[in-house]
Amino acid sequence: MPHEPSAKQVFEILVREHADMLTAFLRSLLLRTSSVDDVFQETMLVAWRRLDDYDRSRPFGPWLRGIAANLVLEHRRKNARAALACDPGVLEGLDRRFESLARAPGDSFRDRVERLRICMGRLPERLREVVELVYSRGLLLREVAESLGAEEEAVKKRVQRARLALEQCLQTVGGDS
Amino acid sequence: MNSPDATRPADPGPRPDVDPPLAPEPGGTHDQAAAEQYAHGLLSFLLRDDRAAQERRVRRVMDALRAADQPTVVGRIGPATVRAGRAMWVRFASAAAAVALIAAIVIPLSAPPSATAMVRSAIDASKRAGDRRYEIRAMMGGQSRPGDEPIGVVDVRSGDRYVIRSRTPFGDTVWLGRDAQGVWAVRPDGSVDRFPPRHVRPRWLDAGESTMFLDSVEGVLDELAGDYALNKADAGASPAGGPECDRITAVRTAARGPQPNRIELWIERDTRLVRRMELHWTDPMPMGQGPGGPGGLGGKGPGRPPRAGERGPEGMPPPPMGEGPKGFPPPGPGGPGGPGGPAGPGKGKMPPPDGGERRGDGQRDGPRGDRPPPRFLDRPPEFGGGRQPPPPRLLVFERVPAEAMAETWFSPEAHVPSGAGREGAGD
Repeated sequence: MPHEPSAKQVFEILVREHADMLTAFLRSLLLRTSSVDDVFQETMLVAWRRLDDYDRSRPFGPWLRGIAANLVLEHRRKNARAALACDPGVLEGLDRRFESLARAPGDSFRDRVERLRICMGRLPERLREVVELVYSRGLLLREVAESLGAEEEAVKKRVQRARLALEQCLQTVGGDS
Repeated sequence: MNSPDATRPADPGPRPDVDPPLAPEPGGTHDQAAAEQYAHGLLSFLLRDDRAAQERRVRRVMDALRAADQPTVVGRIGPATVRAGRAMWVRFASAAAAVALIAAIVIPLSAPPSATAMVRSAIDASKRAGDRRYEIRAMMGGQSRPGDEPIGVVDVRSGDRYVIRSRTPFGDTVWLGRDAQGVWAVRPDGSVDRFPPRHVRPRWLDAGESTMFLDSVEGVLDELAGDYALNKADAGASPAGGPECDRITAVRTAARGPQPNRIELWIERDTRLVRRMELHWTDPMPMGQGPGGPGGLGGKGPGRPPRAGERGPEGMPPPPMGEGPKGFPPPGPGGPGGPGGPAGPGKGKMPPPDGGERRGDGQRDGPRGDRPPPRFLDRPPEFGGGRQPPPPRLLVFERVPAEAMAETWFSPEAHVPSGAGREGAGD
């Protein structure tokens, strides 16, 4: 007979399966990498403890995000500046977008997020360059503004427009809708 | 654009200058804030996170779970103990240093080997061992245990020569092996492909209704250290019997990919050779969601949709192997064809003439008709996208007794059916 996996072995596979999605979700909500790491671990440990409560007929990803969202709210209560927007309406919108991303083509979450590169390639040059400078090279807005010879506020607006354009693009590239 | 893994900037921490607002901006909506945070999260993940960081997170979780299982010893130290401890500290510290020094020398010698060390010893042992044979059995979707009859046999010599014979669900037989010139394959029509040394060796066979993984045990062991998290499990004999074995469970570290999600190893304690190896394509995703990996438990996620004419959810049980184990050339010194002589289309190898229909137990008795012949893939299969049919849920390699094999047994010529045979393009 085949060797039956232990519950922890199965759970480890689940953790690996959803680690990228959970990380990106937490990146959307938390500022510090250390906070992302802490809430990531806490989410998985809570999921493990509550595994008996999980309805196996329903998707695992949203259940995990529900736990994570509660922990982010708790984290924010302890550190008011630690999280981004945690308004229920924003959380709902975020969850909806992650859910649609899960249905997009691709073998893995990372594969599906890779479509973001296609979208970056479609951005107008002046938006693409600020995204690269801010996210790829980690420059501060002030540094970006200096390197581009632009006002910091103008660069900030460009980053915002780039993010919204990327989100729009993801809805059309590869069926993320 | 920079690769997400290359020259990544150190985490800058909070970036109030670029982080999205804490709440919808004046005049903005929740949906707009969510859209911006969503893009911010994906950009941060794609361009700031890497696989090593993710692996650390997963390890941290699993270590915490394992630690929760460990018994803890809680001691209590009162004031008197502290005072006495201070007085004794200097003397005790010297003794402790000596003990630590001895421990540092002795413990590495006496500590049980790690799972990684066990795998390494199994690889080393396979290079020194003589000829070995493993029978391969498969458990397809809908089955609860592997079939009784093997779907293939692997003959191995010293880790660098092997011959794999596998029979597809439609009765085709393919051979894959490695000799002194490198990796070769014999197609069902008898044509021989040779693969240059630096060519990606063929390991995946699209057999029509399933994608078969064909590799030697050593080929799998070589990849364990890099692609899997190794953990020791409780020792015990193989489910098929035999001597006491060390046990290792390997869980794939990559979130997705065609490789088995989990590999179970039984390594004989006396010889260090792999006695049994189970390759599990176990997708633990619950029913009806998730990537729904091929052959997964439930398997109702958005995996590959059924193809025309494909059997329902019970999937494809393993094919009969004609004579079963006896249908393979018996191990032992043979003529030019290797142990037991040349491997032509022998008795029990061809499907029955009534062809094409599944039996009551779901096994396919007939030939493949006008379906394309099995083909080796020149790249890893893509199951989720529906490009290749799913693998079995489980492949079991079990070592069986074998006698010495002739050198020619590991050459393709020994396995070209009589009346056929031509050099292929080598792809």
